[in-house]
Amino acid sequence: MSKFPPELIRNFSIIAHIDHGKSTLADRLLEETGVLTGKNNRSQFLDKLKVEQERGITVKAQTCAMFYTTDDGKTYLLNLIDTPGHVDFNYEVSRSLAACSSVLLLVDSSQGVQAQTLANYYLAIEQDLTIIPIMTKIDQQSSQPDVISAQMEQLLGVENKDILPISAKTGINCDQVIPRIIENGSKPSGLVEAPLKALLFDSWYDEYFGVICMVYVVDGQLKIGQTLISAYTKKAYEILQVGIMHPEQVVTNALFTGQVGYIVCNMRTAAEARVGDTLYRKDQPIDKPLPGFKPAKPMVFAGVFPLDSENDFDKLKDTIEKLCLTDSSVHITRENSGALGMGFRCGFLGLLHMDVFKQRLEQEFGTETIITTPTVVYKVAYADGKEKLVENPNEFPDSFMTRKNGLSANDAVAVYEPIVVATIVCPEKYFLSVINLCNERRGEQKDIVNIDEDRVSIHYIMPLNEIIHDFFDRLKSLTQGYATLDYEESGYQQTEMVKLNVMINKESVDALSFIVPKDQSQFKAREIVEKLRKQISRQMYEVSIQCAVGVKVIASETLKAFRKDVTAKCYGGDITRKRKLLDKQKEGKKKMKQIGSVHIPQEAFLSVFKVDDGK
Amino acid sequence: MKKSYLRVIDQFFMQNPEFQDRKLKSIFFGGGTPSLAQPETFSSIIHQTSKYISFLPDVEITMEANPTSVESDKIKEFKQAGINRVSIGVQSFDERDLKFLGRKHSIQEAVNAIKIAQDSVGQDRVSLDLMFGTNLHASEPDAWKKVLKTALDLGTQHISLYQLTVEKNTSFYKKHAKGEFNLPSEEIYEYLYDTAINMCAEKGLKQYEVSNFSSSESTQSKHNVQYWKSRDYIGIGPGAHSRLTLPNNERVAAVQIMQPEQWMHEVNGDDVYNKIMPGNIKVDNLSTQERVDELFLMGLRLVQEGVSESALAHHSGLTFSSALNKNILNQLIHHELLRMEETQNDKNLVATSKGIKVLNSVLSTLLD
Repeated sequence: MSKFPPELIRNFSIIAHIDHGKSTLADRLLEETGVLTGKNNRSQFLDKLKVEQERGITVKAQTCAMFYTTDDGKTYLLNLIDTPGHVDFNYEVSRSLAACSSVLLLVDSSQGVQAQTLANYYLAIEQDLTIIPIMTKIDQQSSQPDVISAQMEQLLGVENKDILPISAKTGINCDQVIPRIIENGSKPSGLVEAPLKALLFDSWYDEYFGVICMVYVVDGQLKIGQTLISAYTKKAYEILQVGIMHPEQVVTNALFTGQVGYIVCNMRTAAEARVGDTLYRKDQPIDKPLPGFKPAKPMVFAGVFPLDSENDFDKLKDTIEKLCLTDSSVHITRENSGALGMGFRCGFLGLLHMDVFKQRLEQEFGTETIITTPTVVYKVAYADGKEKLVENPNEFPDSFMTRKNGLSANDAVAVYEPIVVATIVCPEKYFLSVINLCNERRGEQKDIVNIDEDRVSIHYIMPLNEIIHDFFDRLKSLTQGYATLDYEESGYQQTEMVKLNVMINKESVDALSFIVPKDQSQFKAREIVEKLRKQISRQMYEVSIQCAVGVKVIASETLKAFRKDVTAKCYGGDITRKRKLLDKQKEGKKKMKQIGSVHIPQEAFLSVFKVDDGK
Repeated sequence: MKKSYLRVIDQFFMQNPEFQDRKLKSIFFGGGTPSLAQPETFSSIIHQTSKYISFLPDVEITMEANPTSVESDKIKEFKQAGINRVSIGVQSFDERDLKFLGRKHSIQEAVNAIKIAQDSVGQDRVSLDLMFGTNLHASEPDAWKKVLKTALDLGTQHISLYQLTVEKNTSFYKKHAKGEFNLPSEEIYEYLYDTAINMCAEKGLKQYEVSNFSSSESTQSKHNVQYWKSRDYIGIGPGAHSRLTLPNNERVAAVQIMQPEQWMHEVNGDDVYNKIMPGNIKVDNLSTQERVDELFLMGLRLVQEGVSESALAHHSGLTFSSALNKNILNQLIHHELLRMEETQNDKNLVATSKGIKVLNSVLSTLLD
């Protein structure tokens, strides 16, 4: 590894919109450089988690070192740094890019520039990376190279002559990619003689080794046996193994300036490996860590409860802990719900993160869990000037004081909700429907840009709350699937939200608390009450179902008691049968939650939490 | 056939000699159409039984009969054979009902059968089965009143009534699913049931069990009361059930082989599975919990007396507070579905008239 000084190193990433050919090109490059042969293809190595394969997206970044000898006899070390493909993992993408000096920016020659092409492009620009534009899939019939390259020139500030048209599928021009990287790409700009600064930009959990970290050596060298300190956690780790991914772990014992590789250092949990962290030598402390570090900030929360809270809680706890080993961004806290029992409140970076987690949870846990509607973090302002972040609906104030005087410190006076800037790219003919949808969802128009003759890019400021439910699905169905969505957090805005409480026979069901915009409260309250009424079966006593804001009931339904069972005979032979029926009913009751004297089946809770499709 | 029954009786009393010291309260010939049997079969069975165990002076010996003329002609012979009570499956006195239920008898035949039975065993020893909740009652609930009136006017002193239930996989079920007939609404069911209770009461027939009414304690069905009070009974014949308390105070539940040929083969074979008596396919010791469950499942059906704490103690050694969930019990009492009655020496948990109507649900809540 010492044979590769920075001049002979090229660290690059492939960035693109979904399905624009990233994986296929990566495969090609790995094949070209002999890393992958026919047998061990990408599906085995670079997409490790099953769930990623099923979803067809890369969630975790996996990186690979390649070697290439140019015509003039020089051998270069090329590190392909894989980045997560989804907007939820923006931060991870930015940290992976921090390990690069160049990017291959791919654009599909039929589809052209899309929302995430732009999003990734901006990230790359932010980091001052050299952009190597590549137009993909030129083998396709629908390919329009002239049109698309003109678009690329206009939107991405690149020159036509620099755009390399390829078809990763058929191989056209693929042999020119690496020479292009070597020629036009930049070299790492770190200092060989300075104290070690290594960027931790990825990690994964190995059953045998513990957490393995992917690092980029910015300055100095990293060697086996050194003791490193994390700038974020201040924990110390001894390096037990160092190497490169080629494509699996290959031990090298050292990594030099500008190089990328993995280290094994007895790290136990993924939470310790915070992406963006700086590792330095214990015996060579640094004045400043590498810039750009951000601790994980969850945007979307959901409660996770086992169906049978008495018997399965421990199992759920174990499963979640196991999942956390490999997921450093999910936030877990314990939650206790009067109605659902003991469970967890989980914080995710976004909806995709949550979905992936849910799927993995189902696979690992085996049985069903109750997952409550995703919620966001609200900021509540109090009369004494203090602000509190509230993520659990139960902690949300029952009422807000609007008067100015005579307030006590604990009175809540205002609430703020998180907002995002959403970028939607869609064909022009759907423009109006999209605008309507955004307005419906309390969005505020920021601007509208014509990308080309056909498409518009719409920027809206939207409450995050409106995005996390079914916004994307609605968008897709309104636009026949053509629209793309990207969003980025953008602070907080004041809003009017209220907390809806559900009461069954006057007893509060805390798991059924919802925070909704004030003007949706009547509608939502009705909806909840009706859903419950449908799911709760008639009991021996009357059941009143109410939904209130504070003490004011705004929707209610009453379930009449039933007054007559079946009258049948019951003699000798019937007793055993009756007893068996009784046992069966006992089993059935176990699956229900009891609120006071009312039995509520799980389906009732699930029906209220489930988001309605296509409204 | 007769041989098999006799053999079982022999074997039972010989293998369980302690039962010979008990007293016999009742014999019930049921399980279908026993009136198709020969009267001689009945007299042999009664006679054989008397060889092993002494009968109480007011022993009740009942047979079930259909109200067709074929069977009613034989009732006198059955009386001679030893029968002293008859239960007739009338179901209805309305032609529309009889047609709907697929019954083979006419109203006239039914009335005749009842008269003959009353003449043979006495008016106080004839019981009628009636069914409510038919297609007719769904649209004309008062037709039921006419049926009841007819039954009562005949001087009937015991009535059992049942709600028509449509079980899955029956032709009734399929017809109902196709919408070929209607069933009454919940309100109508309640009306039909309440009407029956009231009309019977007016004519002196008190409701003593969920489905049963009698003019006095002596005209109650002694045999069925034995079931409802979780006392001992021996079931002999294909599919018959037994509940027996053994000398060590264990209570066993037994059931005989269902298929008649197989039952006969077992009973008469050499290599018989012979637990308690031949022909049993299953014999289980009931656990304390099972005994408690059965006690309440059956006992709360008795409208006046319900379940006594002394009976509970006898079966399980528990009291009401130790056997039942206090909160649930209090709630049921609070909602006026059950009530606790205290007498000098005992306590009785009884279902109220409101509770009797939803007894299935009360039981499943209470016995959770």
